[in-house]
Amino acid sequence: MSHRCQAMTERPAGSFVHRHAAHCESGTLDALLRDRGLDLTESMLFGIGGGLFFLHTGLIKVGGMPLTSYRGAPLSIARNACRRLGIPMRYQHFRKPRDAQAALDSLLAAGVSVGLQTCVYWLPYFPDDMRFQFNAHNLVAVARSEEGYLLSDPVFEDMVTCSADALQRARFARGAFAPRGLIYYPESIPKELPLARAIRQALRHTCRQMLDIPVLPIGIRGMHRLARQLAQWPQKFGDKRARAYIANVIRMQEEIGTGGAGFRFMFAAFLQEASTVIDQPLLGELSTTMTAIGDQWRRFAVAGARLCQGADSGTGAWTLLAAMVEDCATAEEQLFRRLRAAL
Amino acid sequence: MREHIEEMRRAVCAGVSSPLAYHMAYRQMDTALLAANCGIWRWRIRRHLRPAPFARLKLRTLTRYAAALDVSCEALRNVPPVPSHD
Repeated sequence: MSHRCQAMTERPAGSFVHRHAAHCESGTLDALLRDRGLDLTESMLFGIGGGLFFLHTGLIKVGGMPLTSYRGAPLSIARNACRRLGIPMRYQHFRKPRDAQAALDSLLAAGVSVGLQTCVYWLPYFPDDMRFQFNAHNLVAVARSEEGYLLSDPVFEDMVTCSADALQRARFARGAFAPRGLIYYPESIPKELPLARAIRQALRHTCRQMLDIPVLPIGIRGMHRLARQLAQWPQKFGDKRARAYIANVIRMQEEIGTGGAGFRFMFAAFLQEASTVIDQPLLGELSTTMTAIGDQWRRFAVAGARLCQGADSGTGAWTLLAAMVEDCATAEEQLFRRLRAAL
Repeated sequence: MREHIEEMRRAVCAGVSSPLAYHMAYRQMDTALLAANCGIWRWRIRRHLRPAPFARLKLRTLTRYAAALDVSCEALRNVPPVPSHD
């Protein structure tokens, strides 16, 4: 088969090491690369992939809730990171589920661990409370087993098994971000990585995304918009819906594989590591600031959660919440301006 | 979430909605997602959420819904008599 690549026998079969990760996409990429002998940290890959992001329009709705996203488009982290590091990745979609399964099986038989894009809802090993319709969940298929597939899902503590039927369904769920059976894996690992260059590129990219995007509510502007709209939710939609909305914002920030505070802690870890790689002590300092901002987001989440659970919800509480988001936005704006000046 | 599913179940029992509404809620789908998954237009799905048009559905259409929702056709025609907690 054409997608089987040559240098596939570097690793003895069955040596895959599962590691629990903070975010599914960077975790999957980390696992794939580590399996091929390239050991970078998850936060490093997250940072190089330009994973830090913010979007809130109030117009785009998902499941009836306005979308607040702390992440970029699905797979943008993996694609960006591999492009910047010069790692050739192979991506393949399939029209027919049967072809997709055959391709996966032949890769696994050749001892290649494969990244898959799946829908969370149809993966049977997720506990019911965590199941929801989301098409861009990434995981690694490690081996074919008797009962189906051995999977390394980065958001779980241990490896899991999944029946072939269920996996097929999860890989071919349709709707927004339909995975269309996507498989991906590194074709080869370069001898030398342009790590410092990649870090600089990524930092510039992240600064641009957070500060410079005109008109669209992306980055700092998105945060300001969230703050403004949030303060009006109770009058506009009534108490119940306003609470559901804020719950959704917090869920996006804290619960759904973000490593906490909408990736801010992961980015802080990245800055810390980057500062030693490119020998720029200011980055270390900014990393501390970023952690502080992460704490600030977390305080916002706690206050919001308290509001949802029916603590005092006069307009005072909502303006307070909005002010907290404003503070985060201002702090982040300062941070990214300093970061840019340092580059 | 559970509340919403239970609400739909009651609506079906009261004859306000069709069983399709319950099964859609149970799979945490909205009409847009169900439309993408079964290849039936959204406005038709919305129509099929009412009991009368749903009762007139051909077996073929029913099968498509059943496949997209991963339930049997038989189950799709009904709702469980008690609140289900998976």
